[in-house]
Amino acid sequence: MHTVRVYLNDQEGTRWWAEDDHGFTGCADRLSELVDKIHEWAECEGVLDILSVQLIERTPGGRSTDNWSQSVKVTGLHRPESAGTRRVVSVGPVMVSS
Amino acid sequence: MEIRVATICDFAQVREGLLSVLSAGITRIWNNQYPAPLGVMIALILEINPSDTLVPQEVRIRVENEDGAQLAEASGGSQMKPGPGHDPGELLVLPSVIDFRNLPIPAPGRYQIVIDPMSEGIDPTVLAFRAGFPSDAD
Repeated sequence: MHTVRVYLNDQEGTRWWAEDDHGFTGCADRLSELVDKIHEWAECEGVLDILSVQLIERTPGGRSTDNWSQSVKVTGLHRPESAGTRRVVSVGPVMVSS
Repeated sequence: MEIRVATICDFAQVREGLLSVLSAGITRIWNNQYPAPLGVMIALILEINPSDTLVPQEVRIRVENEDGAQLAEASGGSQMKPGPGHDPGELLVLPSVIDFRNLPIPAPGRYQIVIDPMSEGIDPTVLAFRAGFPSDAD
């Protein structure tokens, strides 16, 4: 098994990056683009058949259990200086989409 | 990947793989003055085909005003592994929560939260709401 680890970048720069234990690094703004790059590299290196791409949880907000991992980054959040008293009223049905 | 549940709520959390949601279905948010914190969370349940678990999946969630200007974006990645009790072909269920409670809403008006599975052929899910003053509710 040849494992490539994928991370959500919590710093400035491209959103996703990846590395392995043998010097491979890659980055992309879309996760699917990064996975494509990893597959292209693995095919060139002849390790596509044994490739494992794993998302590594890094952010405090992420959660994980035995069978899944998750990474979430939220940008644009800060508390406004003049926050008024707020009241939230629910007037609609729960949104369920398929 | 498909979005099975998406809702604006007061609070949500994921514990032991289960999604707990409090006061879901918000479509109106009242504040006495603006800017004001949005004060809500987004609760999601994503359904993932077992064949899509070999690589991580991405979801992006954007908060936009009525002109389409982006106020914030959450980027998330998830990856699941079918457990030993998983039936062949059974879809994997991934609960998820995005915290927008501290996102500042600059002014009254209509807003939308766009949940984009970032997968070709799958349309984003849109949750719309209106921010206003308490007097608007009368």
